[in-house]
Amino acid sequence: MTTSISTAVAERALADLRGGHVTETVVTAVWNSARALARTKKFTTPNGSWVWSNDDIDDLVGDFLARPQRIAALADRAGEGPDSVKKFRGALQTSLKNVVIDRYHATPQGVLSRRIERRMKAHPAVTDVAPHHWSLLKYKDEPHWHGDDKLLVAAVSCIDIDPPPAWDENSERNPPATTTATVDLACITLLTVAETPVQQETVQLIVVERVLPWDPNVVHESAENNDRSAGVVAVQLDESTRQAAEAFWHALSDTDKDLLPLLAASARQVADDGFHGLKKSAIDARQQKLKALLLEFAGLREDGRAAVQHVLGLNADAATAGQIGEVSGDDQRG
Amino acid sequence: MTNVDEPSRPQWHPLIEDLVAVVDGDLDAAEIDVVAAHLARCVSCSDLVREIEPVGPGGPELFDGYDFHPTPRLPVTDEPQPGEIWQLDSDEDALLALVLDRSGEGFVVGAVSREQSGGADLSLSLGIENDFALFLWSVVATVPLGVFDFPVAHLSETTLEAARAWPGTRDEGLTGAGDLDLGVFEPGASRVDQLLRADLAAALSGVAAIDWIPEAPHELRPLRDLFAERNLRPGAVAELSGLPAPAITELLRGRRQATDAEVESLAAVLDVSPDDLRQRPTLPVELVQAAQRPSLRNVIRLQAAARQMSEADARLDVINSVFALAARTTNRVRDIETWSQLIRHHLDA
Repeated sequence: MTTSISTAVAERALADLRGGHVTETVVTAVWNSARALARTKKFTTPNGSWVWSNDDIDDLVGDFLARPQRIAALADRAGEGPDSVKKFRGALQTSLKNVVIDRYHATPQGVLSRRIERRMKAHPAVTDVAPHHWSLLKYKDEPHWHGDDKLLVAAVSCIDIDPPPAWDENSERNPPATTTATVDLACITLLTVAETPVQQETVQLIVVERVLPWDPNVVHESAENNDRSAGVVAVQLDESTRQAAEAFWHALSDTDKDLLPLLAASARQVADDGFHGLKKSAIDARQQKLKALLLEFAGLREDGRAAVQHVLGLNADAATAGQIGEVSGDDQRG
Repeated sequence: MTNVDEPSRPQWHPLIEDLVAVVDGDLDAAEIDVVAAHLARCVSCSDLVREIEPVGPGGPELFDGYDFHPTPRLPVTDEPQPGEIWQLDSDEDALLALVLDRSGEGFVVGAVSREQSGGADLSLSLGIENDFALFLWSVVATVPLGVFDFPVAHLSETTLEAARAWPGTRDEGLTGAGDLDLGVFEPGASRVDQLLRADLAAALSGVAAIDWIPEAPHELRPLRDLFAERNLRPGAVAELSGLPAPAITELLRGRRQATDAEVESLAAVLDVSPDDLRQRPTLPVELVQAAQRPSLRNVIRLQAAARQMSEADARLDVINSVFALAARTTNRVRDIETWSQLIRHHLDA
């Protein structure tokens, strides 16, 4: 059997890595994988563009290679068995995707979002309310926010956004998008208007959208038809995410769809209940792989949490409709 | 061939690079068949392929490259010991792991990577050497002996105790993405750390799910005993059943599996039901354990590659052959060392 060019390059690259050498062949293997990711239109550049230039790909490869630890780990994840090249290529793709996700979260929006999280955790008037909600202390026992997010957006839109503070030109970090006072004011205003605990991601999305309004030059083309000026779209599931969630759910095997509601359950319990006749270890493995897939799926989206919730909702709907969930004792073992 | 009880594996997607190669016509025929079969039943991959557009020619910029300390390969021992870091390898997954303890016939291990987490909670430095640093991640599982490949490092007693005392390894069971909580990301840890930990957890759970113990529902009960109970000789059985005498001898010696037709014929002659004739083999645990030892595993794996068969099938072949060989000589119970020696002799031959 002949071998494809990509596999042949990967085979030579893995041999070089096992010897401890990051050679031109290794770089080519990384570049091939990076270009494949770029061509799928499933991943954005750090600037939010779906179209990747060769320079963008070079930047990604450069970021990837900048951490020798990351490269060194690839050979370990490939092992030395007969399928090591296949495992190496899989590990390389996964690792590259992780870098893409990480770079996305290093964007101004991602940085501001984490800043909001830090500020809310430290704010004396704000408390965490399970699951993943923030509230002013006096409203923490109220039912969670179920109102129209437009009200919250409107409240935050009245806040004046301070320009970025003076910043040392020699600083290694980029200047923040606005002052701490503005971030605090926007968040507190939102929670005050809500008078209930509000989902953390909703707070982050609305405040980020207010501080860093949508820039038509860089934002996802899938959102082109949406009216972002009202700033409401950010907190709702946009069409592309909805489609992505549906595609993700459809791509799952029937067994994984059955397992989806059981991700938080212990594998032993699921096995004891006779889930598809699988053993505990096999259920463990499926659960972990499914969780890793969900994490990756969510990490690629600004509204990752909402996207995952939509996947779960689809699954629940299908289960209710009797399309899935017929867990039988039929053994699928090969 | 007897079935090996393997966990049902999810049907994961082809590599994106291969999907792109399909569009570009860069895959060979065999690979195209595999990918095409997947595309026929996978909506998301079909959608992804439709979105792929050509890009201009290009390649990596000139790069000088660099060297790093490769993961060493230390001499293979028969049994991993606590404090040793091993390369684990199964059909689907591979990773480094620290042996924390023994647990029955399995080993409690923690996932190890050359990558370090950004936060201190997710990984612990094992501080082996300056240019060969390894990090223990908060992902723990019990794995069978059969997935150990070769050792790469030994920890000092002090470091092992520190690793055992570290909160990330104290809870038995996989701790990787367990706190996903369907809220996607836990606060405090960076995305890339969580993704890496989820990958390690998925790989380790995949390795842990491997079950090398053969489960053979179609194995025959020992014919020798059945013949003896009925005072039948192979020649007589051949005559009564209509089966060729050499076939009876082969089955008697356990050299191959009986076909369904043979089982039916033998069951009629022996006056038992076909289902009664079939039974799970009672392979000695020590034999199965011996065949999983890393030193023997490496030889079996080479043979499997040479014979273009799976490692599991090759291992089972060896187990059956050695068991049949032993059954012809004596019924004495053997310990794991004796079985190992017999396997070595068999493999050498």
